[in-house]
Amino acid sequence: MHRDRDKKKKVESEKKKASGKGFSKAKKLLASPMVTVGMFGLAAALLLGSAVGGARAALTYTSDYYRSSVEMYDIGVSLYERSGNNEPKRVSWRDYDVDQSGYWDDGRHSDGEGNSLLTDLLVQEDGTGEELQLGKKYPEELYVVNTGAIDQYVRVTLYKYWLDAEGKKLPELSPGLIELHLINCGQEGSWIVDEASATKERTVLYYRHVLKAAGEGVREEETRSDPLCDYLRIDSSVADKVSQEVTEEGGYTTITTTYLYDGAEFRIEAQVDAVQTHSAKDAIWSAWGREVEIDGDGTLISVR
Amino acid sequence: MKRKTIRNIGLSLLAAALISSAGIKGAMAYFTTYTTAEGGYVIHLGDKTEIKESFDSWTKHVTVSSAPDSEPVYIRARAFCARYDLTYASGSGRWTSGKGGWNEVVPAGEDGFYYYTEIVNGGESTDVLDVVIDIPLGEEDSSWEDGDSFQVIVVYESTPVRYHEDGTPYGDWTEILDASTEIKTGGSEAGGDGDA
Repeated sequence: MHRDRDKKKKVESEKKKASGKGFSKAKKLLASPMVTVGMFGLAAALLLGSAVGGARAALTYTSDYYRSSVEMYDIGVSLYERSGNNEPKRVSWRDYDVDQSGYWDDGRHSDGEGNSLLTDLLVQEDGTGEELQLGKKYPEELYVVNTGAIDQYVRVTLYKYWLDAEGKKLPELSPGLIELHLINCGQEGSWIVDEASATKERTVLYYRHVLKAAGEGVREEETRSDPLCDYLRIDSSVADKVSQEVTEEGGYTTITTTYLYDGAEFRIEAQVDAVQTHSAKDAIWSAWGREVEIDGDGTLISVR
Repeated sequence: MKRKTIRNIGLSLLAAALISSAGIKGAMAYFTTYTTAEGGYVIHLGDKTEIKESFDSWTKHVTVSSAPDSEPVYIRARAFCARYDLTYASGSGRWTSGKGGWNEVVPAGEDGFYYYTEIVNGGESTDVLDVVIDIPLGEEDSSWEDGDSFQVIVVYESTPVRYHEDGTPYGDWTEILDASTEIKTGGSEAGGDGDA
């Protein structure tokens, strides 16, 4: 009887011993650096895997008998110009060209043209050109079109300055004599002039309304902005600014007059920025560094 | 034990940094784009004009030409003679003392100038302006003595063409230049800047 009991105890004790050894081994294994590093690697892989899954979640697949579709949120914006009496022209753009190449299409790859302003300014109705006439108002309209697939807010930054023959900026010549006449601005207008960012050379304008992406139920005029200017004029007083050198030698006085603006080139530069309308306030703050107030229908009320 | 603790803390921090950076990536993922365009023109200012005269039959034939790289100008001319009266004639009819875009300032005929009605572009010349010396009949033979002489002086002026807002050209003969002047004497600098 005692022998049986002792045997049972021995078996149980061995079992316990064995189990304790196993637990201790597992504990040791789990605490080893290899396992810790392995687990960390697994966690990182899981984290990355979850991000990839999110990006792929836009693919909607129904069945073999129906088309699958991928919804791509590509953004694009174009600057249009109506110069002189000519038809409007798309002068520059940057669209995410997902269908063709998956890269940004900015018009420079194909024909090398584009991104030039004022090329038609002096072209007359009969196709001939003319010399720029000081003081004359030349029709010059600039406006923006949403050429992407999502709605957007846009702003335009205009620069005016003078260059010498080598293309070097001439800060001593007045940008104020280059008059790009702004329209549709102010409280009632579609464009908000950011006075805080304005300098003699630079003017920043924010378009109040959302530019819709072209699509079903969207009117064409909803995809483009109102014009921000209507004419360009070079003040004729540029011809009055001269320097005179008077040389007195041998009883003679020689006066040499030099026109300060002779040979100078006036330049107009326009940069269009576009940003998504989703989470607009944060997006504008992140992209443009400006705080905006937006009303219920998506209209920009103010820019700070 | 101590090394193990430091390692665990380090790995925890790394994991936290990974998670945080994943969050930042999401916050920056706004759709934006931009495009730019620029353009301009060179301004050409200044002009150089020259008068040419010929003389026959008691008439001076005057033309004024503009150098090829000159900006467009308007031209006016008149002559002076102390001894005889002068009359003007223009075969093309383009010289006149009347009023128009070429002369918006001086009342017609009051300043003695004859105005060329066309714009003279760089490299172009005016038509001929005839300045006729009115010598009374018979005087040429009766009152002149050997060595007798008189002068007929022709003066001309040019002004750059200016444009109204609608592109209509005009000449401003009262234009005053906004000049800064530097005076040099005998080849060395002796003055400073000043308004003239």
